[in-house]
Amino acid sequence: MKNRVRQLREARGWSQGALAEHLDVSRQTVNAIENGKYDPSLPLAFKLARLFKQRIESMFDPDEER
Amino acid sequence: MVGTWGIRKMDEWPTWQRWGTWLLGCALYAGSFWVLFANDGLGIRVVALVGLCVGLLVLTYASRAVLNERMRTVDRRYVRAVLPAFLVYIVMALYVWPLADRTTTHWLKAVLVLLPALPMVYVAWAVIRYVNRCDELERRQQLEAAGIAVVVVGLASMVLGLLAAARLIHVNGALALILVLPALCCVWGMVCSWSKWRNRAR
Repeated sequence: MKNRVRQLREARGWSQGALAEHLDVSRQTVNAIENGKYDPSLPLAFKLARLFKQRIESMFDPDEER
Repeated sequence: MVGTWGIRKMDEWPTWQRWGTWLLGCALYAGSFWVLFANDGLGIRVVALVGLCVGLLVLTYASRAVLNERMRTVDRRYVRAVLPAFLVYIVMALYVWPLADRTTTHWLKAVLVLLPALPMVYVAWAVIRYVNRCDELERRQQLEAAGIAVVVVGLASMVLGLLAAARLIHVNGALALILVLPALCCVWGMVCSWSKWRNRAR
């Protein structure tokens, strides 16, 4: 699934490690989500959306495979 | 970022320093293990146990650092639970388990040979707690690794069993049963490491 996590993270000037600390996950999880290798669960997707103050559907595009 | 004692966090060290520390941890761990089982002297064994502790700690921190990861609370809790239990197991295997040969009382013998299993039960509980506290991707990796470990060790046991049944090889049954858990842990650890390496952050 395509997502805008990297774009939103970089816009805030955060490293993957910083985002991982905000979400209480490992850096590899952030990396896997950004590269489309792993689709987050609904709770983690909501956590991301709240953190970036976005709507889930504006962050994740289920129709577009990466 | 600067950590405790003004030292930069290990995941921010240059690559060669992180890998160098990892290799140092491996050497310290393997060397201490060898010294521990190759010598009888109490003094040298205590030194080896300390070396083993330090080696394991360095290895744990460096293993995460080479993957560009930082030790999290969940990792530190796991190390704090597993390290003492592992040391108790080694001490029991070295000093309690051999006492069983000196007794003829069945129940006492059973207690002495089973005592080293107690810290391993605690380790198993710590592993379950650790996996439950990992994030969702890590839990999936652990599950996949555990599945692969069961298949690999199960198949290897079946192949060895078939060869032994046909009397083509001789397998020490007791030793084979003791080695099942370490074999499962080894394959599980290797698959987990490979999976984490593939997804490592850059």
